[in-house]
Amino acid sequence: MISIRRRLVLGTVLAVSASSALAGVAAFISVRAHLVAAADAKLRTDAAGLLALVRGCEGGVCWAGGRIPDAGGWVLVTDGSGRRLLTHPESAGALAGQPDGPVRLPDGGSGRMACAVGPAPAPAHGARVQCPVPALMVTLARPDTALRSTLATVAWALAGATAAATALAGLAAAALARAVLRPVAGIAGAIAGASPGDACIAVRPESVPRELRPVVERADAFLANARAQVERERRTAADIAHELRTPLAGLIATADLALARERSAADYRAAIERGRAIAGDTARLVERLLMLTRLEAGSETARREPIAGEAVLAACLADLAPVDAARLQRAGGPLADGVGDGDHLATVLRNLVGNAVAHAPPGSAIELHAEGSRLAISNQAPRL
Amino acid sequence: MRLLVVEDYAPLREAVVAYLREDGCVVDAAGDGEEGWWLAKDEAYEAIVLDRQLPGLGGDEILRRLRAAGRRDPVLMLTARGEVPERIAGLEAGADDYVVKPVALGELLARLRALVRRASVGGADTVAIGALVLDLGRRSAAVAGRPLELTAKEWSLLSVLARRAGAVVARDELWRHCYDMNEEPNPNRIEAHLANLRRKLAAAGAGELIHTRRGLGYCLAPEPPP
Repeated sequence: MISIRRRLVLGTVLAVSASSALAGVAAFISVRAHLVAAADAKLRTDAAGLLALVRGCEGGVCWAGGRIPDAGGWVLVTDGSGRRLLTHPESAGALAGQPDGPVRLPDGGSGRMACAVGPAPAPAHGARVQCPVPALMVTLARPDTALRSTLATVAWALAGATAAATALAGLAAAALARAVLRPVAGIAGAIAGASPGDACIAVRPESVPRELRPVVERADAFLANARAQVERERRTAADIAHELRTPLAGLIATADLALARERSAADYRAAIERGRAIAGDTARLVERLLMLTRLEAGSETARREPIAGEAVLAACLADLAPVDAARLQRAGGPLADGVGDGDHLATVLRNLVGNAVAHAPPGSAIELHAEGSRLAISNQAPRL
Repeated sequence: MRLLVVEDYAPLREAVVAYLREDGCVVDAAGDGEEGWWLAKDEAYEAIVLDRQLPGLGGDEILRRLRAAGRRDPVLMLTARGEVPERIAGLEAGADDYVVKPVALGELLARLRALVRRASVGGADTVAIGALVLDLGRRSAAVAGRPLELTAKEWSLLSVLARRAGAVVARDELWRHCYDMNEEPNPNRIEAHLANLRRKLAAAGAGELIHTRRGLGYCLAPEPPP
């Protein structure tokens, strides 16, 4: 996985590089077109100037004053039908028939060519024109070395600008990434250093950018949950240890008493039965504790299903010993039906009735008053 | 020893009481705080085994009331709360010993004897009256180095008199130390046990050490009290 910093830098560099390159290309094309247009315009102007220097003379045309102008390139003068009239130098004849614009020069080099077209030339001074030329076209071709050099210079300049922009963008992106990621690194470090016992991570929400505050707040919420969970587990372990110690003490004391001296088989049997009863109570206690733990942790959810209230209550009362059941007095009506978790309801009822039976004075009455879905258990046991 | 056991969990209470009684102790028992306080405030016990979490009145409150009333009965707290802060709180509330459940009954008895020893005759383990030497820790008696065989009731009577050697101990007090609250007081039984004691001491050569002060009680001393 590529790091955020690297993505930021690479992305920025690529974006800047691409946009700079595109801009450079566009600029180069524009500059090139402009330079080429200017060069061609100069050629046309110079060709037109040469056209003005052509005179009609015996046998055709000639240069005014008999002097070949220095055109700085290849000159070809033709008539309207393409008949060559003047060439300078001689190799200029190779230019005939080529279109304006870029051209392969007679010396093999590259150049540009333009034409100028004009009417019949004026006769040379004192010349008697025997075969007048109806129209003239002067073709002028020059090497484009200077143009190419200029264009190359422009291209390199633009490339250099693109490279510089890319480099600057990379540096800026790296700095920006460092600045942007500093609060993220701070939060990551604070979260890495947090332990379940911490109330919050070592970053205040108001000290981080607004976009990261939900991260800090969520991390604090998770820490609070973890801390509450740790506290819940500690309290549960303490509660379980506390609740189990007393029946365990009863079990050990029963065994100690039985083993203190030689006893009859009946006495040993009675001791074992007492121990068995204590173990049964302890098992039920453990189940209740585990259920409470699961409910507190949210890992156990109560079912929602139809419950026959009176049937559940009757099943709980059926578990009582006959002597305890005889103390129960029913009042009101049957316990109403409802919707809930039948097992949990049975556990609660068993606990309530069991507590009343265990703690009420022996032989005292225990009243179960049901009214609709409400059940009240009244007894004379001391307050727990 | 005359003891009070206040514990709401019936199987544990019954086993502790039975074990202590089999060892010759006189034991009263209560299953809730109110009953425990009712017994403790009106009777004098050589030691009290007190659970902290009781229905009604809690063990801490019973202890607080006893100490507020100036009672210095040795109290051994027997409780499921085992964390250090709980132990400190229990001891600072006035308990003389703090035992976390579960505990072996033999250890419980040994701790109760230690409490009673510390509370008696300067905490001495042995008491000598004339040729009679009682080892209160080992629960043994000897005359001139020869062991004296005593029943549990005879030992209870003799040890009560020995802890108050030289002083007159009322018959009621002797009864309370030897019989629990469920027994109907019967002076003849005390007389019978004392008569057996006198006979055994005389036969062992200790002479007459148990003296009767008519209308007041009995005294264990080499010479009759003035």
